[in-house]
Amino acid sequence: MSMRITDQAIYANQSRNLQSALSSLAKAQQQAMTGLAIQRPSDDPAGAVTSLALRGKQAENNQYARNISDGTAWATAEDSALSQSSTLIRTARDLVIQATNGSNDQDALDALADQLSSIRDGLLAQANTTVGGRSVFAGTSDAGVAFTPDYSYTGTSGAGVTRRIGPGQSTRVDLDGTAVYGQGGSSLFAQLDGIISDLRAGDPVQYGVAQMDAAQQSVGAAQAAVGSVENMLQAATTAQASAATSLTQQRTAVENVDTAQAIINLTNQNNVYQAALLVISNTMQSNLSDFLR
Amino acid sequence: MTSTFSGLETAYSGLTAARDALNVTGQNMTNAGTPGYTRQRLEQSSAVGAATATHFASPQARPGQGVQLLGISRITDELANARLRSAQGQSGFTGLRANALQTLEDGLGEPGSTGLGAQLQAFWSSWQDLSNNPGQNATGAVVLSDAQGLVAQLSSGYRAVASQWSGLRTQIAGLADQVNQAADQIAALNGSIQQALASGASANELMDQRDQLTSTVAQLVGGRVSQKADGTVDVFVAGNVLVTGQSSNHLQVTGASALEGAASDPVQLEWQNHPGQAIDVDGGQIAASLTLLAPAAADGSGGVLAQSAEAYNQLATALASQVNAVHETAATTDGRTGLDFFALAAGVPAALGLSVVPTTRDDIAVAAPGAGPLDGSKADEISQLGAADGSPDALWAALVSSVGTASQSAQQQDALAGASLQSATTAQQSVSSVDTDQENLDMVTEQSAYQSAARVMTTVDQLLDTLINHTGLVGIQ
Repeated sequence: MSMRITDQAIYANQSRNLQSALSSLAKAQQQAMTGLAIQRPSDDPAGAVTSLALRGKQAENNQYARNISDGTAWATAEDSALSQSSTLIRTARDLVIQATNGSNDQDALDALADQLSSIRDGLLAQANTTVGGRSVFAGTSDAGVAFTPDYSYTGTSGAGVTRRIGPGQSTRVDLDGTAVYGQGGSSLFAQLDGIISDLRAGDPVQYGVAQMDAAQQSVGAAQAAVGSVENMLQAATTAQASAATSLTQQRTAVENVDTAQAIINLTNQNNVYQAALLVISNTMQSNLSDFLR
Repeated sequence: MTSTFSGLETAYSGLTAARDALNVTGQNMTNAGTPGYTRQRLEQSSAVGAATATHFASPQARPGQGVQLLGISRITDELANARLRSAQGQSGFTGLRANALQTLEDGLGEPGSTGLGAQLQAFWSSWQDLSNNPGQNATGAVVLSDAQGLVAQLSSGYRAVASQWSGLRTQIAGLADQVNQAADQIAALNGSIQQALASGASANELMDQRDQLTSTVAQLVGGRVSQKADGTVDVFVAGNVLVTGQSSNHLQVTGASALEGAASDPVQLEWQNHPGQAIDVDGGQIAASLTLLAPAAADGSGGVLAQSAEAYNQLATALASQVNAVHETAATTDGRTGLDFFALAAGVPAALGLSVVPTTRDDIAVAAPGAGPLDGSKADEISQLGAADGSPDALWAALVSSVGTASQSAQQQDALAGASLQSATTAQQSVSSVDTDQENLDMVTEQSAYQSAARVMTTVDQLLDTLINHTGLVGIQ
């Protein structure tokens, strides 16, 4: 026997179908309006976890950008301090050569000593260059200067300031001040002091040129190191930017709906709903009592 | 020989039958939209003529004695009803579960920029910033405020789960009360129906009411209904009697009233007359609530709410122990070591007992001891904790995934149960609900039956008139 169909059964089915059409329409509307494919984890549990991981990677990647720009500030400050130091050392070397040519009287030597003393102060100032209050040549020190007035080094040798600039990639951004300027009695500043006191005493300057040449070499080596750090930061910036693009794309693919698809889907669901309404208004218009007289 | 007037009787029986049938049709028509109404039908048969054959007379053909009313029957199919009740029990179960799980996953706030995942990422990033600038009070303040935010979000996440648990716990007690009330009403209706049937009256409307109540019981707690010969029904829940005849047994829910006590004092359903013995129901909203309220199990198979709360606790514990493990080896700018960053209060759930120890940047240890006061390598180490296996981030992703999957499957089950409920409802209504077209046709039939019976009566009357008033008058002027 075929199933008997009654008004109530039809009404119940219609109201259920209408409800399901309406809820599909609401979902399609929400997706089209927010552009999000995953409104809650149950929409796509695997996608939700992927999205969580991608958001984590994005946060990390954004952090790399901040670390890189911070590291770049250090490298730039070092670069400038080193090229200033290099200029000063070259001038000092010229003065030392001038002092050793034997035709200077004591007044001229005193004048040279004065000039060298101001160069020494300039070098000390460059060696105490800071970024955000931290000495670039003594990264982990909180003394405010890398070299105290008695030329002792405030940093900790072996402890560097590193910046995490990519996944599993860190680079040291500070420089060991002792490698560039030496420290204490054997520092470049103490050597200059030695030359100055020799000049003032009228004693011959013996090792000045060699000392200046050695200092120039240390500065040159440090400049090369900073240059390579700058290159690394540059490369990391490029990698970070391309990772940012790729992560955004991946996240979009997981989290967002294709707009065209969403709108087609919305139109579709809307049509289904309209059709359901039309069917109901057409089928239940009359019954037998309209025709019985 | 039939009586002279038997034709009148026959016609009269037709008139009353047609009128009663019309009344029943009227009842059907007026209740076409009444929920739970079962259509009725006047049962009638042709009355057999009295046989008067004797030894002395050969048997004669006798006409019947009109129409006989057998009663008003209720057109119902117990199989379809049973199938409907089972579908209602299933749908009650899946519906409540799907709703509760959706509430739970909405509370996670994932995927989004407000969830715990984003908060954890902000926290790790702030350590990285502190590693870049260990001496700055501002970066230290960001770490502290992100840590406070994390602690607050963990505890509010846990509280949301705990309050959903308490809400369900209150609800399940109410559901058990509803079952008890329905059971009492079914027992009372059993009595009225038995009485009505014994006195020969119709109990159809009372049976409709009772069917509505057994449906309610099915939706709440599943169960099985068995029909008895005297018109009463027995209702069984988990194999035991809820209602038999005019007596009913009552259910009660016992156990902890807050999530924290769920493990030591699990919520269970029991018979009031057998306290302490848990009964296992397989359908209905009560069974769904019981699965949701179940305590957490070590293998993750416990109730989803307790399991989620446990996940929050594990996350809090992992966060505290992993950060502290590094933080204790680190030195502050003034050289102190062995300091904790997070503290866990004893005696409360870890997610609620978690707190941040340092109050100023000075108390945050970021340097490797001996590497200079402004070293940030330990802060960098802490910032990388989120990427490791077993990290708070991984635990969070696992929770989101498990709740999402559970909710997805609950929704699918609910959609399935909904479809099966729809088909069971259609099948039941196909038998029992009123079709107004059919009733209209019945009305036409009954009207013409009435008219025809009246016509028969008129004709018999004319015959009698001929017999009584015109017999023997041939030739009389």
